[in-house]
Amino acid sequence: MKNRATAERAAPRLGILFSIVLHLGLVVALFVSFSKKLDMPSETAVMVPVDLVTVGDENNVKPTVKPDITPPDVQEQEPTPAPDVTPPKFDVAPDVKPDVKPKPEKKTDAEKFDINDIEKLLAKKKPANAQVAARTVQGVGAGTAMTADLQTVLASQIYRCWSPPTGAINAAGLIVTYDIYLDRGGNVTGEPKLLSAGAPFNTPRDAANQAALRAIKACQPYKLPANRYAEWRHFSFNFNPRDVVGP
Amino acid sequence: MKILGVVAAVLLTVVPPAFAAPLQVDVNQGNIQPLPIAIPDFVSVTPASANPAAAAAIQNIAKVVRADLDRSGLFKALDPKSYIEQISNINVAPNFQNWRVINAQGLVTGQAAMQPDGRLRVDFRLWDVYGESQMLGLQFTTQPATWRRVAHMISDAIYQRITGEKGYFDTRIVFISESGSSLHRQKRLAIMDEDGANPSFLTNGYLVLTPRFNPSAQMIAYMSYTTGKPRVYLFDLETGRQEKLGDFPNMTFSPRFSPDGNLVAMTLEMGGNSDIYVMDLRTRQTKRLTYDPAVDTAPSFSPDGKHIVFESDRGGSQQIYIMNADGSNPHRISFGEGHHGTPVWSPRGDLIAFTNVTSAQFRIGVMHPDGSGERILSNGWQDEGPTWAPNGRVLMFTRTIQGGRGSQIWSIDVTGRNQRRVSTPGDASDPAWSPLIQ
Repeated sequence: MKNRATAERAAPRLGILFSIVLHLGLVVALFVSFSKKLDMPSETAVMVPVDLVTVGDENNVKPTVKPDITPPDVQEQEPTPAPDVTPPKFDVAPDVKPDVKPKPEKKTDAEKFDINDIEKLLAKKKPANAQVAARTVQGVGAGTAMTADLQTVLASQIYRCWSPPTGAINAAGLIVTYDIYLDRGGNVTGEPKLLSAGAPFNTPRDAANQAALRAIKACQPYKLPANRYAEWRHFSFNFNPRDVVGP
Repeated sequence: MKILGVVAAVLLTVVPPAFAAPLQVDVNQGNIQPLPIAIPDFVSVTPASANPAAAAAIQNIAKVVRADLDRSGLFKALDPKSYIEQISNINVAPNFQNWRVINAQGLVTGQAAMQPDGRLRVDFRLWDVYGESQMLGLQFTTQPATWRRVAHMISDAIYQRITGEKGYFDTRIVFISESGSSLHRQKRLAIMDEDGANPSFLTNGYLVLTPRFNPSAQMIAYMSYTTGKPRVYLFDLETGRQEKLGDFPNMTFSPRFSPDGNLVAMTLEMGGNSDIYVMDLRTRQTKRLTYDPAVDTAPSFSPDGKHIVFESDRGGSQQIYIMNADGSNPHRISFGEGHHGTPVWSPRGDLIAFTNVTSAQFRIGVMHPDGSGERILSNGWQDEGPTWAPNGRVLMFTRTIQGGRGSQIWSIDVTGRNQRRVSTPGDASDPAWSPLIQ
């Protein structure tokens, strides 16, 4: 009886202990599984460098890969949209990996470093896309090459319609952002929503906002790949006049 | 803490990536171009037969507005021949599609009518063609003879609504009109509207230089050789009265009003030394501001009246200096290539315009009041003597034709764009831009 009483008294303690052990096990299991999951390379973490898509005629990155690239003429934008948005980025794929090819440089020590021919050496070492890398823009949205090429296509279409106000004090700092929805025809639906600062009438800030809004409306319809409507249905234009209006 | 960590981890895993921000498109390139704007002739409510003069004025209002906006370089007034819609009633919204077809982004509609009291009433509306909305609607009433001023005021209102900055079309230019051979050059004080209309002479016969408006645009300070020696005079535009400013033994020149109009800063030469003085027009008391043995001249007040920019060769060459309005703390701000002179402080305070002389070439430039950001704007054979538009974004200056064959007045935007000749009757120099007419 005594043993039975002792056993009955000990039973709840064992139950609590067992419960704690189980909970701890559960916690550990959760940590292990989640940490593994977090360690997995997520899609959003893979930022595709913008130099993959700089072959677009005009984009938010100054196209320095090919110095002879000029801003597109309006007529050049007119042809059927599909060829424009088909992945042109692969054209530059060889340029993106310049370090892989020049293996012959490693043949001799003299070619590796010759103090008398350092200029030649530097020229060899210069990566083809170095300047592009300096202007790399982080992926936005899904952060994939797909959205990056849509960014390029949209920027190359609206730039010709955007004439920001010049000459005002701090004209270069009047950054304007509008949130936009497009229909399947590439036309703006509803009124674009101003995400950046608003301002009263007759102020340079208001003039900058109005100029951006005029550009958005004047440039429609936007020519975009119909099969990717879900990707460009909703986006924002971020107008930065720094490189446009000068000092 | 562990539990919190677990909850956070669970939340991180559960929230779908669909929460990511929508596509963001950075637009870093643009296409600076004038805004295409359509300005049809204003509708005349008064029959031409009832008042031919008023009807003619009404016909010309839109023409003046088109010319004003076109001249600014920020607008492109579309040719009326390209319009496919005729405006007959400005109180009805236009068919915007008809204006989009001709690439107009702005549309101005207006009408004018003679009132029973003999005055002219002018209404106008500014439309956003792509936004399909009215941006502005104003009404003016005036004497028919001053219809041009109404046109300029309409231009100013449109300019401000689109650019966010005040306009400068309802202003006047005082300048030196030059005529005669180089041996017998006659320089007379003259005045005209900003667009070159209504020119008239204010003085006759004597050599005059460096005219400057006061802040109310009713008085002009200038230098004249009326009595043989150069002296600073005041000219009252309302009464036509001229008055010698102070009774100094030696020559005075290079006058400039303070922003409140109560002071005139000028240069006084004594014993071969030129220094800057300031005279209080209310008390006629004079105060000396500079004491350097070098030549100190061309003073110009900052818009807040607290500082004066001037030129001096105290450092060995002609350069630009700034001092406090009481003469204290003079310090050099121009360190760029060549000499710098004739500084003028922008009405909005952000820039100082000047004449730069490098390798015998005279050009107009601007810099910040701390001397940074120096930029040369003009590229003529000999450009000098800048004056600011009241909105601080356009400059006028004198351009001497190559070989010294006459002089002209030119204007240029502060961005360096839109360099163009200002219409004047004959040769002209030394322009001074008035504030907006009150």
